[in-house]
This record gives sequence, structure tokens and C-alpha cells, in this order.
Amino acid sequence: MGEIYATVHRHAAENPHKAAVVNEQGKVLSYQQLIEAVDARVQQFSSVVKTASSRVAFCLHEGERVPVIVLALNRLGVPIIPLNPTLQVSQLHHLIDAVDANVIIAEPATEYLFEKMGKSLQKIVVKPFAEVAPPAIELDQTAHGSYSHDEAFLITLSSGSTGDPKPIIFSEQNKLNRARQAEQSYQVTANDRILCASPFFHSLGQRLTLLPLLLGATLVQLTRFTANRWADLVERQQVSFTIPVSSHLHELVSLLTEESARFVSLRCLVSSSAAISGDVKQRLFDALECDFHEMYGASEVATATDLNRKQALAHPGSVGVPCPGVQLRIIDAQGEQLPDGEIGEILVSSPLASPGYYRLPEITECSFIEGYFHTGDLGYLDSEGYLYFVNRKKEIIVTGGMNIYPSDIESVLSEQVNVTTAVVVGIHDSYLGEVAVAIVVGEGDPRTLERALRGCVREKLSPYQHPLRYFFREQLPMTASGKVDKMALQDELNGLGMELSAKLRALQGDQ
Amino acid sequence: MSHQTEVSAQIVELLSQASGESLGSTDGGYNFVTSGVLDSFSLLIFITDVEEQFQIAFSADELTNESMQTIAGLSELVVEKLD
Repeated sequence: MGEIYATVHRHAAENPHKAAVVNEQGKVLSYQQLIEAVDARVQQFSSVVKTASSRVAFCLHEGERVPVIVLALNRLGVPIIPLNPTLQVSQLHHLIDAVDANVIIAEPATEYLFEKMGKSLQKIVVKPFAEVAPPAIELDQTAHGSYSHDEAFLITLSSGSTGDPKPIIFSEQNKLNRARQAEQSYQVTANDRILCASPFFHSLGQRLTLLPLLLGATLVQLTRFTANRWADLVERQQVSFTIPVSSHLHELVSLLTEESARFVSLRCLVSSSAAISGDVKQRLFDALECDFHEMYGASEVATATDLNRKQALAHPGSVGVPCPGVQLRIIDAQGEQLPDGEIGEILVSSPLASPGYYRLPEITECSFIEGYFHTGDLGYLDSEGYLYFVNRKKEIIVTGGMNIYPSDIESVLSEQVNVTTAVVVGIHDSYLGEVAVAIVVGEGDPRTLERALRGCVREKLSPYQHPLRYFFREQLPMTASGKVDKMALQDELNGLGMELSAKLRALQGDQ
Repeated sequence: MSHQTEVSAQIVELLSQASGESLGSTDGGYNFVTSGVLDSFSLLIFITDVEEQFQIAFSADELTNESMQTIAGLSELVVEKLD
């Protein structure tokens, strides 16, 4: 039996009637009801899920089913692999292969994806709670498997990769320690009501789901984010703690600052995934009295730095100082450590680091060297040890908190017969952090080609992976080594000062 | 079928495509922003799809009016641009 399940079970015994999970419609699952629902799922799954050999992927839209299923699989002691339900069939197929999943948990809305796949997987379709009978017999609370120290409890696939997915392994201890880190950094307690507005296939969604349940606090779930829904739920459910991705925070700025009286229940807000501008920060500080933190980190190493309100005012532009136990290094291209103030790659050593990538020993070895994770981000440290994030060295594009691997999109664009070369780069966007754009060399009428490319992308990629703009060129700039000079393209397009999310902001009433 | 009705039907079709939900019976007052039927990425793609379908371009200013969040409001703007 997993330690996470055991902890929640203990809360249920000590505080059975306390609200464990509350959804947007106000439906409440107490800790006792949560454990009963989990045990019913354990009984449903145990005929298919075998502790020693099952690798269980699940593809579900958010809702109270997600924590129930996660706890049930934790109780059974099997690895959990959450998948993004907005991915296309070919993408899911690829990911399932990458993690060796042999059991899939789907719901009626996602079941068809796996029927189309034509792959031999054991499939469990989860029914609504009302149709799941409580366990007929009292389940033995000590039965089922457990996880060893570095064994996978959860595997996260941070992109809808069609290219080379890098499944990140988390041990159960990783997740428990990460929850403890959040508890200490943000003084979260069992009295908090914690909002999760991020999907579980995203590491932030995992943190915001597990943290309240491990603490014996209340998890408030928002399944589809809009600024108004978020605000209504925070007000109605008296949410006291949450971690919005920075793009959500940008959407929320007007409401948070103009209607701040609605949000008095908020005790602490933490901004994640991309830096927010000094101007936005100041507006939030002026309007809200709650504690405020920013962080820098990566799924592989969790939160590496923390910046509170006071530090933010004294060190504008910084992403904070290392969290307890974390060490930072800045190195140059030759791997030499750089002095304060000089820009280089950010390396993170953390007691919360992932054991590595699933079935990718070479990539794990290149990414984690002598205990330091090579983030692929550029930054510098000041003389007081504050970290400043400058840019992303790796090609990965982070848009609205979601990771995009350009190669995933490039391979889809290159399939079109009239495309000679297609590259994808991220350009700066004040709202989403970065957005993906495509630069294409091809034959024929650009307008016709663009229409074909958009159709192809719609069919094969998830919405967050769609390039927001297509540029057509006769040739692309090349580096001395003969590769497309993406940096030059990025600089040129950033120089145009496009704000490709401006129409989104206009529609959402936040210009 | 009037021009506006035809435009509106095409917009509902694009909206269904972007959201993955069948919205055929939706009326003109349906607010596709506050309903949460589209996440931010899908909303951006939907607007681009509308621009591409009708070969028009919206400015951010044109979309700030709250009526643009409804099928009727957006259809009206498309018809205005096509005329």
C-alpha cells in the first residue's frame, strides 16, 4: 500500500466528515466518502491491475474522479501515468509506447481514442460514482504492493510528443517531499482550502491535488479555467491558497485588483511557470494583502527558488533564492563555473530531484551530472545569491505553462508535400510567456499552403501545440555548422513586437 | 437563409470543431468565452479559424466589446467586414 493512500486513510479515520474534495458545482466528498470511493475503485481495478506488472495510464478529463483513481492506484502500488485527454490518437499511441503502459483507464468521453488505436491494451472504463458499488467486503488495509525508494510512483509526460518524449519518473518519496517543501515554504496547513485549476497530467496539477490530501486540508477543483470561474470559485469556496500559472494570473489581474474585496479568503498566492512583469506584480501588491510568492523550477527538480513579497520589492527582476537544500550553479559553455553577475546555464542540485527519465539512461546521464540537473535555462546570480532568469537555452517553448517541443510540430508540418523546410520557434508574449510560430519554406501559393498546414496541425496536434502564425520564406538563415539559425529567426520575429495573444486578451476583457 | 444566418452557422461549426463539442443547437446569445467551452489556446485558434474561413482580420480593438464573446456579435462583425 502506498504511503500517500495510507496518509489520506489516516485523515479519514481522524476526521471523517471533513471536506476532502469540493468541485465547482459545490459537490463535497468528505474524507470518509473519499476513502470509500477509493476502496470501491480498488475493488473494481484489482481484477485487471496486477501489482507486479501493471503500468497504468489514465486519460480522464478533470474532476473528483482524478484524485480517487490516483489514490486507488497508489493503494495498489502501481505506477501512474496521467495522459493529456486533448491529445490526438497518434500522439497517445506514441506516449503509451514510451512508458510501456499496458492498462489504460478511460472514461466514456476518451474511450474512443483507445478504440481507434488498435493496440492491445487492457482497458478500464470508469463509470460515474453513483454506478460504482461500495466494496462488498472490508478491504485489508495492509494489502497490496508498495513502492521502493527510486521506483516510479508517477511518470509525467510533459509534452504531447510525437518526437522523443522524455517521461519523467517521480518516486513516491519525491512527491511526499515536494508536498513537504510547499508546506514549509508557504506555511500551508490542514486548515487551508487549496484550489487546483491545473490538469493532473501537468506537474503543477499533481502538486495541487496531492498537497491538500496529504495535509488533511480541502482540495477545491476547477476543471476549466476562465478568470470569472476562478474568481467565483475562490469567493464561494473561501479558497485560501493556490498556485496559478503566470498566464492565468495575467488573466486574473483585473479581477484581483478591481474587485479585491471578493478575495479576502486568500492567504497566499504563488505564481509559477514564467516570470510576471514588475508592473503586474506591483498592481497585485497594491490591491491584495495576502502573502505572495514567485518560484523558479522545473519538473525534474521541483521548485528551486522562492521569492516572497518583501524580496520581490528589494530585488526586482529576480526569481528568488534557493529553497532549503537546493544549490545553484551557473556555468559557461565549457562547463566552468561563472562568477556572480555573469550569464550562463542554470544548474540545480535538489534533494527533490527526479530519479531520471524512464527507459532513457543516456539522456538521464547527460541531464543529471554530478548531482546537478542541467536546466537548459540561462541566468545569473547576484552577490546576495538571488537568481535572475534570462532566457531558455533549450529549444523547448513554454506557453501558458505548457511545454512545447518544436520538433513535434516541425515533424507534422514537414509531412505536407509542398513543404521543403519548416521550423518552429517561440517568440516572446507578455501574456502567455512565449508562443509558437512556424517559419516555412515551401512551394505554391502561401495562403493555400497555410490552410493545408493548419488543417494538418488540427488533426494531429493538441490545441496548445498549434503555431499561432505562419511565416513563408524563400530561404532560412543558417549557422556556420549548416543548421537553421533559429536564434536569428527568433531575434528577427521578436523585433517585430507582435503580441499574438492580443486578440485573446481583448476577448477576455484584459487588454 | 440570410447572409448573417449563414455566417452564424459557419461560426457555430468552427466553434464545435475548436471545442470538440457539438454546439449545433446553440443560439446567437451563447457566450463562448465565459462558458469556458474553449481554453485559452482553443479560443485563439478559433478566432484565427474564423479569420481564415472568411478571409478577414480582426483587430484586438474590435474584439474588446463584450458582444464579441457571443456568436451573434461575432457574426455581425464578420458580416460587416465582408460587406
